[in-house]
Amino acid sequence: MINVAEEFSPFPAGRYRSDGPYSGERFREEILVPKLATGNKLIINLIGTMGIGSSFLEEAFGGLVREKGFKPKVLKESLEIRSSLPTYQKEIWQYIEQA
Amino acid sequence: MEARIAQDPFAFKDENRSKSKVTIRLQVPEVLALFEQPERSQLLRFLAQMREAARLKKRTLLNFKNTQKLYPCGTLLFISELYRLIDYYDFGDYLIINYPDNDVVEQLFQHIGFLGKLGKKNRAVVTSDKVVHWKFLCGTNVDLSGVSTFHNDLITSLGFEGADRLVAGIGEAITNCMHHAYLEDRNDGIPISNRKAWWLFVAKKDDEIHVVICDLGIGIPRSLEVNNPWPAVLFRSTLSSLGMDRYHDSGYIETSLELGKTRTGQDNRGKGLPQIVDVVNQAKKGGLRIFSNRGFYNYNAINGKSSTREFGDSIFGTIIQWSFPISDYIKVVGDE
Repeated sequence: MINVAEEFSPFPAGRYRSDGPYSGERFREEILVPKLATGNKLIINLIGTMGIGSSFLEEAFGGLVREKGFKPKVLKESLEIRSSLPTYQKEIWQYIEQA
Repeated sequence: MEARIAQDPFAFKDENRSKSKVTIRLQVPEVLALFEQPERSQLLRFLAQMREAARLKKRTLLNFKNTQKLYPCGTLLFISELYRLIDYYDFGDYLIINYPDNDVVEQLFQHIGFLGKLGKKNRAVVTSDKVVHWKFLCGTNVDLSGVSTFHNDLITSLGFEGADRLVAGIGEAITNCMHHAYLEDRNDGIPISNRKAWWLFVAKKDDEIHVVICDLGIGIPRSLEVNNPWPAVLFRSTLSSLGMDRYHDSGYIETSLELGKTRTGQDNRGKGLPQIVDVVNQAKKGGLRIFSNRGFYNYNAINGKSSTREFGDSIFGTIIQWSFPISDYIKVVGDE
């Protein structure tokens, strides 16, 4: 499991590394991709974070498909998103499907 | 701009600074606002004089004696311009200010840290209802850590979901600014190139939330000319259908909103501003104002009407100001 608030930032924001220290690109490259490479099911725990915008989510999760070649079907089986707001799950899966 | 100084009542006695005489005295305007004339032109003329004083590296006094009324748009632009000159051009080495005569003005400048940044002691008791609710943040990248200083207040007022969506909206506005505002030189006579920065006011007062964000970049019109997310033909035909052409900065603002309502541009761009309009629109109250270069766009959510105005002078950047009632915002967010 990845506890995003503790292991990355309680306020993840921005799309590219050049945007800032807690960007979607950095999260994808430094945390998501290495963890997915293990082949185990991965739980992304967003509880404790606040205000994650579409730029971060699209780059982090949509980028798995667009930039790293992951298949949406495979991600459906590998990823579980936990958050106190259901809107995050909906948004993340939308970006994965549309990437 | 040389001043005759026989006796200088504003000679600044500070052991940390030179006691050299003031050679430029600039009167800060009585009203800091951008949406009406002549106040807009007065403010922009003053800001140009301030940039010139910084460029000349002349000992400068900013005189707040007559400053009486602070509107968020004009005040944030003034603060942003001055902070940019201090942080990137060493203007602080040449600058002194006096305390405003107006107590509320002094309280606000103290409350947001402006007086302290310019070496003035905090002496006011900040109690004014026009001041205490405002927060000021600034940054040079997309880092929302500063929100942690007031996010508990937001949760108390808006509930967790409401606070979350608001902070997300602020983060997206800052991200947009970083991506699009600083693509080229600002062309304001100050050779500070590609220094990305943003400045922000946020307030919760009574039942309303107010957010104002400023960048000192190239403005929406120039940004779209450099890197338009929509096909050029589509953009120009939409601009034309609004009765505008490429000489209308306000037309560029309105066109990007129109196109963003119905389609996303390349690379998922073009959604930021329309999303902000959406929140205000769904609440059916509040409003949105966008100032960019010479253009001004105003949307009133109560009657659903928008208007534009083209001014003769440019703010050399973009300010987005939006407000909405908390109760309606929570309802809208809950329905998403």
